[in-house]
Amino acid sequence: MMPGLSEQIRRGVLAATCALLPASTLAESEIATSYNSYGYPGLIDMPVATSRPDGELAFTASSFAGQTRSTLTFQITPRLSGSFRYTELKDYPTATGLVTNYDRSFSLHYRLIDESGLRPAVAVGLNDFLGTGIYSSEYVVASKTLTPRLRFSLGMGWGRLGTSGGFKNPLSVFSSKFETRPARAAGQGGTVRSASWFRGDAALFGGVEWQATDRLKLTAEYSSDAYPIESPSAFSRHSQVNFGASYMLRPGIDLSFRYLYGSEFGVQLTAALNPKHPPAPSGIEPAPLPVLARTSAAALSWPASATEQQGFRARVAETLSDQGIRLHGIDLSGDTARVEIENTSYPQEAQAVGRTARVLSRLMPAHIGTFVIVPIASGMPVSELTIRRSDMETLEHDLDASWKSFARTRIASPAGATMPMPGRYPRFDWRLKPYLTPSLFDPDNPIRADFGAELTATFEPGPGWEISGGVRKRLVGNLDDSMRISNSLLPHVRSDFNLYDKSGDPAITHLTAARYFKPGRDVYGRVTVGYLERMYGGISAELLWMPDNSPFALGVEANYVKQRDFDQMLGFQSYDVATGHVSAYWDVGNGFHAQLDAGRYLAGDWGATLAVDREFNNGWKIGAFATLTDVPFSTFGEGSFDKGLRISVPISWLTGEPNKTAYSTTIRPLLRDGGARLDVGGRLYEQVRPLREPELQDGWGKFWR
Amino acid sequence: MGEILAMMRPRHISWRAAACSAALMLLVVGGCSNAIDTLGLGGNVAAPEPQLISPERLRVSLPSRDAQAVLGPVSRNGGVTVWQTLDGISLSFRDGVLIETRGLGDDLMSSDAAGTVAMLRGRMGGDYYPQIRTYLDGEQRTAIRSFMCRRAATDDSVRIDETCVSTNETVTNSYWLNSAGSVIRSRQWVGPDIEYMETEHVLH
Repeated sequence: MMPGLSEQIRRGVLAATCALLPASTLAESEIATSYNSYGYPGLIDMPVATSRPDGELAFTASSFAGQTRSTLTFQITPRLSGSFRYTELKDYPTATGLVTNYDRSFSLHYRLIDESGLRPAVAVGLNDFLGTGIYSSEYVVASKTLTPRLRFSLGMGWGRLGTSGGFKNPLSVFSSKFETRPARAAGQGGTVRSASWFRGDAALFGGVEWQATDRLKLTAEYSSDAYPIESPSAFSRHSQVNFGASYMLRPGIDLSFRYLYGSEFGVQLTAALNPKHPPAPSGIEPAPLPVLARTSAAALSWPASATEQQGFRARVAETLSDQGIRLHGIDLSGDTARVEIENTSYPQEAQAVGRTARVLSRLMPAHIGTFVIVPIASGMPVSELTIRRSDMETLEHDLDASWKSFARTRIASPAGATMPMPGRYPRFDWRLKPYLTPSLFDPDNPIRADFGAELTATFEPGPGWEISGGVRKRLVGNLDDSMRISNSLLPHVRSDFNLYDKSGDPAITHLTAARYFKPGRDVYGRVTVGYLERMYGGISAELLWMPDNSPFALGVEANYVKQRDFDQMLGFQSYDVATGHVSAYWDVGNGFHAQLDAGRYLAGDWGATLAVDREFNNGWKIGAFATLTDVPFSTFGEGSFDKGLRISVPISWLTGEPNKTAYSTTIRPLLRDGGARLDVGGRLYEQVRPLREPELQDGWGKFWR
Repeated sequence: MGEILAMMRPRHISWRAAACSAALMLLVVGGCSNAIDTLGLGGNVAAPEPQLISPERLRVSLPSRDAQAVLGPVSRNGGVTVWQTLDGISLSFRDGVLIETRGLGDDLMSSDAAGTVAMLRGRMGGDYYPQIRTYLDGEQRTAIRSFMCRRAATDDSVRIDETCVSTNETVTNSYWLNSAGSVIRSRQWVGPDIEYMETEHVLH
């Protein structure tokens, strides 16, 4: 036999990952919807009414006349997209002269009507509705495809999009208040500026897109943006007509060149990928062990003596361990084998269950007819899956193996404690791995990062007990370049982060003792003491109630913490606080998940956080959160309240190999002190949820993989 | 490229910021194969040691991957034989017709080969018969492709061709039978990513 086939497959997947290949492909004889210089669906500076494919995540970087915009855009639903933008504006006029201004802004684009027959597509959008309002504008736009390669767009803009060729707002027929747009508030930004939406002068804009070839698109537009602040200090406008050419370098990657406002050249790079299209949809992990039908198995019998039983357990444990599954406990009684497993490898718990059932079919004595498989999280039994051995044997090669086996599996929520086998505890584990901590969109430098080595160790003296610690040593990085001194009026609970970056090398990331327990059938508990996170130490206690067959779950968390020294060794500063939240979790459906946390934050402020995430079934998570507390916007400082985006990319999506690690990052316009939450590890909801029935069902496609 | 643009507008286009932005995208979407290997982000699931049940071997090649392997039989269950490579890729056949793959990245998860098997035994004449295949989509949910197939005319007396048509694909599978009616050689369509697989029994 010759190895090497799997190596070829693996290389192919990695090549695709590295090339960011599997983004969306161009639909036949259709005009690709481009991202404009602001990173939302559009022409050059102006919008169009169409959308990008659902789920697509795009990064655009555009630059002209010293206006550099970097935008992350997510097609949240088939109709709605949202963008977060970081802009560098050179030669920006202020009272003290020309400066380089950095600005952060959000946009939303919603397609109201689809194109059909004679009817054009229609979209509406809001720009910079939260930030300081430099790009504040609204639009309604219609797009109509005339030939398969030619599309016209015409729209009306307000705010910044009503500054060239503006006329009296037609909405003023409804109310005279639409005639004037309130001046941009000079405050801290961050407030929803709905009072000015669609007010003030309006203007028309439009353009044409011609898909010359499958890769080349030519665009011309009439812009209604007079660049009222930037022009003439940054550049001089001679014309409102812009021309552009976009070339698709490979699917998902576009390079565009523009000639703008009769005086400037511009360039834009777009990189898009869609979480729905992984390089290897089924994964490239080795095949599972084949099911062994009892008819062909040498009749095994349950060993009688204690030493033989020990040898039998060791054999099951070793076979499972080869499959990336840790055996926690095993018990045979009557015709039932009850097996507790810890899945250390597979993003889908259902795959770990399927592989365990295959292993049991090979090793269990012939009289065992029922497998009860119990996935364990932190020593807590979460679900109990009852699988008939005969179903494994008859469904292995069935066309409908997936749904038939799910339908025949009974899933229940177990009561009672685990039954760990001798030798499972105590257990000591350590690992040394690299870490990367980027700091994105800092006001002074859009990207900073530290890279180094992290040593973590975990000791489990018994079921549910976990003592763990971590130490980091930086190798290279520039996080400590930040010279910004916090001007926060609140206790500096987070805004001194750069002092932690400067002094904490090496740093103890955490050093904790935790106890996980299950006080009731659907109730999970956690108590953690020690150095909980890089900035705080203390005690944290949590209870989670997660009823069966309900999309809702409820949790409470109470913490008393003291702020750690900047050097992140064992010392503490004087600030201490009692903080905690009541959390409601809701599985909305269609992959959307919402979480509401209400309670007291680190600075002692009271309020609530709403977070909404879209979770793809392959593990990608993209979401946004916002926190409002009783801290007045003026006290909070720039940004007015805490908000941000978070993205989590499963490593298995990139490599096609089973791995439960994900690369997660949170992007905040600014990190300040209001609405700051403790960042304790081991929170229950994310530990327990993947092991419960709804997630098992969503992952059942991998049961036989 | 950079030079040309630099001449157009040396002062205004901020290449540094653009480069930073591009680096950010790479950070978000992750590095390259070397990085993945160095960082130990691969899998930790071992390829099962093949426990062979007979001395037969199957030579398989994937022209689209420029890859070849020799497989040995590891399981026979309900008329299906599972063959496996040393590095853990398995292929399952019902009477010589490919019904499952494991480890190819875009695996054929299951399929209904009853029609093809009946055709190979000469029971179908020129009639159409359905062939249903399941895969995993990008979100690891079952995705079904269904085909209508019929025996196609060939100029080769030992080869049987089968043409299968779906709404957006037409594929042709070829089977070579020995005098006992067993498939000894074949060229079968796996899926849109892998395309065709060639098999040959090398020892009996």
